[in-house]
Amino acid sequence: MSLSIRNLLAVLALTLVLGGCGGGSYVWGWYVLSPKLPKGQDNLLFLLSGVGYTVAVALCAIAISVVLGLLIALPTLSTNRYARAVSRTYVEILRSVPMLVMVLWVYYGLPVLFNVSPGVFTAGVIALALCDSAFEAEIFRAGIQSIDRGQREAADALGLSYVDKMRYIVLPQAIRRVLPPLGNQFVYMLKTSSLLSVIGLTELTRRANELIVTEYRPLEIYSFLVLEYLVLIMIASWLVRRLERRMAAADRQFQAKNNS
Amino acid sequence: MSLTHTANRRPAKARRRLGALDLALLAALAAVCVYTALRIENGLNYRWDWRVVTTFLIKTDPATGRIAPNLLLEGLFTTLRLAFWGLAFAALIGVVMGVARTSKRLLPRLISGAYVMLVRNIPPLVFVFIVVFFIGSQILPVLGISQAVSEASPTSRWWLSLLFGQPALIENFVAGVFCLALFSGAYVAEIVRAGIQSVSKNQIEAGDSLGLSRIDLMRFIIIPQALRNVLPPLANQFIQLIKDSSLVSLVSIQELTFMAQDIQVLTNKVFEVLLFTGAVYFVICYGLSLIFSALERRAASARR
Amino acid sequence: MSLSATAPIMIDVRGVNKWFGDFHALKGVSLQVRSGEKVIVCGPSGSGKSTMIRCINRLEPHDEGHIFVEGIELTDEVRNLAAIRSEVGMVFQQFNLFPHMTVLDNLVLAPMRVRGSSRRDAEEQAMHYLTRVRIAEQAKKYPAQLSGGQQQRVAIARALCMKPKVLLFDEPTSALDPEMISEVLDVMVGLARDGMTMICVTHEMGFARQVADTMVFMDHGEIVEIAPTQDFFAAPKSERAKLFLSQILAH
Repeated sequence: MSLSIRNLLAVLALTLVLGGCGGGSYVWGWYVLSPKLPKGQDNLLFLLSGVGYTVAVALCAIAISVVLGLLIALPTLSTNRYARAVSRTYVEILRSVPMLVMVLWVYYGLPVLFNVSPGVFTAGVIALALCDSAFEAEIFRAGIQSIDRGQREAADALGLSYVDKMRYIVLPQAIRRVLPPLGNQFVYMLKTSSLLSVIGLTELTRRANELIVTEYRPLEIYSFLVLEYLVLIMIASWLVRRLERRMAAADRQFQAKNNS
Repeated sequence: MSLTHTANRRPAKARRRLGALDLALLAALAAVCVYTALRIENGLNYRWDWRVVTTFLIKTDPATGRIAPNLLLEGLFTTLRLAFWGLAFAALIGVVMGVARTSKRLLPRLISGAYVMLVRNIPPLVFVFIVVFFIGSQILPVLGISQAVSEASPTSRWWLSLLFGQPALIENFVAGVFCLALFSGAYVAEIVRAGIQSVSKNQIEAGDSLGLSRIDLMRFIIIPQALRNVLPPLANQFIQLIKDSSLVSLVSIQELTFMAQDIQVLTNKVFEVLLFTGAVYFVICYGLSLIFSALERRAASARR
Repeated sequence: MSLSATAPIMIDVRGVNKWFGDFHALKGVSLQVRSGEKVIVCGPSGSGKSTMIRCINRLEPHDEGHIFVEGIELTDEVRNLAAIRSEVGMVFQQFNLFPHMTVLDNLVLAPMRVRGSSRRDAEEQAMHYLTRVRIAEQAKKYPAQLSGGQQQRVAIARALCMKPKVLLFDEPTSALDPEMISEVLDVMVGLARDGMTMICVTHEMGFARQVADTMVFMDHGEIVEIAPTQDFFAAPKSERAKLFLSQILAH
């Protein structure tokens, strides 16, 4: 709770500081967003209408990137040098390319390459998922490697196949360690999805920029935009923290005596 | 029973051979590459023209006949300048804010806490818009930087353009640096705080029991130990900063991504330009990460 | 404990070499174990005891030489490997129970997935072995709720559920508190009486005297001495074994 109060304080401070930036002579124009005026109501609804895309893009992208990330993480743990090299290369390249460049590449490059023109939503999801998959892969790798080697050896000694070993022994234990960072990655996706405003996806940031063009009230509209993201991200990180606590409790229960 | 076996050298490993799985993997990779190339080559009649990259990298100055950097190289230089100044100021902000976060007093803790929370919880792009809009278009003009620059002597102008890029765009550049520094600063602050807090309480108590002052405690006990924990994440943050610098292209700061988009629109050569741009970022970021990990290894082995 | 010299050879290790980087961990190790034989491996720490029995289950691949289990050679061939591993049970120093599963689930997993047993048969068999290691009442608990000695007995039961022909023990009592060692050793003595083929790395010399047919002494990656138990304890042939025994029996 202290987090949210501090955040709100921070927003207040920001608006005050920025308000002061105009030499103290800035004339506020909150009427553009006043819920009392019909015009203000329209504007508010217009701004809020971006939430759908912001959340949808983040959800779709994380779903895809989790699957991709797992597929890429598994070879990094194998003893096969070539499989390891391929996944390392994938991770290193995708980690080093800025998200914006990736967005542009997918949006302008894919249509030429495959003769299909993905909509902005599809292109956005692909770009975010690709970039994120490298980070997901690292999360999975760390999670799987954190599982005691003895667990894998015990599974081997029992004669379990690779798939069974992963399915029954390694992944069920790794998932507890992996879920909290995955949640944080989702929060990160919510933020990064603002980049898709560049290619015209009408999510929160795009809506704000569009309204600024017509109303020319950047201070008020950007402040509201920040507020929108803060609320959205606060909700998301609250959910992540709850998850984290539950996972930590479960982990403690299972590990309690093994480590002593 | 044990055989007398005198071989002391490890035998060459038979497993170095390519197995069936390796071949399948390599074949699949090759297939993907060939398919992509074929699609581009035949299916779409896309004409590769890598000269776009070379011509926009270097040009010959028509007036003097000398070789000069063209748009892409200029963009790359701007990216590097942004990264350099961004890092310097981010480190400054980060250290101050990070130390403030571990302060015993409420006010510094509150201010730095709010700063870090705010920056980390809004999208980088929105942050760029806000900072560049307000600082760039409200504060900087008041400071009269452009005027000072235009009145500077030729020698100082040469230095200025080396450090900050084209004098005409200097205000724009400063706004970009501000933006990156404020943004990265929050992450650096978190790293610094974690580093300070990673030093065990016993160490601090031991220092206190010796009667060290708070400054001496920081200087001789905490910082040397914290530094070791802080350097690897700081290196990562620096690489992240270079990647984030692409964002300021959206507020017309003419760095690499901005130039690339410009040329792409101009020549319609999507692949060459964007692939090249991606490759440049990769070379810089991966190169840096290799250097950092080599340094880290050396430091680790020196400690042993 | 009498052992027929004509019993078939279960495990045949021939001239095995293994390196970890530049470290020569196993130097030309050869060992034959007959069906029903109980072999105790001892030696100072770092002498390659654990590495040797981990090679027999191919948890570590060996670099040179051959290992045969029931006449099947250990190679990278996946089918051989799975067949051998389901015949060779292993009990680890750190138990390595699966912490996210109940005791019962730990026991039925491999029979169901590897042998294709039905859940009912697997559970019935699991309860049989849990009773045998005297821990049946704990079946529904999670490993972390048990003491170390109980966990190790569960681990033994888990290995038994695969009906292995050989059981390998890698210092099964080294991670246990002193008061729990005997409960685990009792279970192992019981197994030995029932005729299980066993290779056990341990420092418990009293236990060794009680159950072993053959003693194997290792040092610096070599097998220094292989001898019948009585001969070994009465008069070890090598100086190194003498020194080791005098040190370990001193307390």
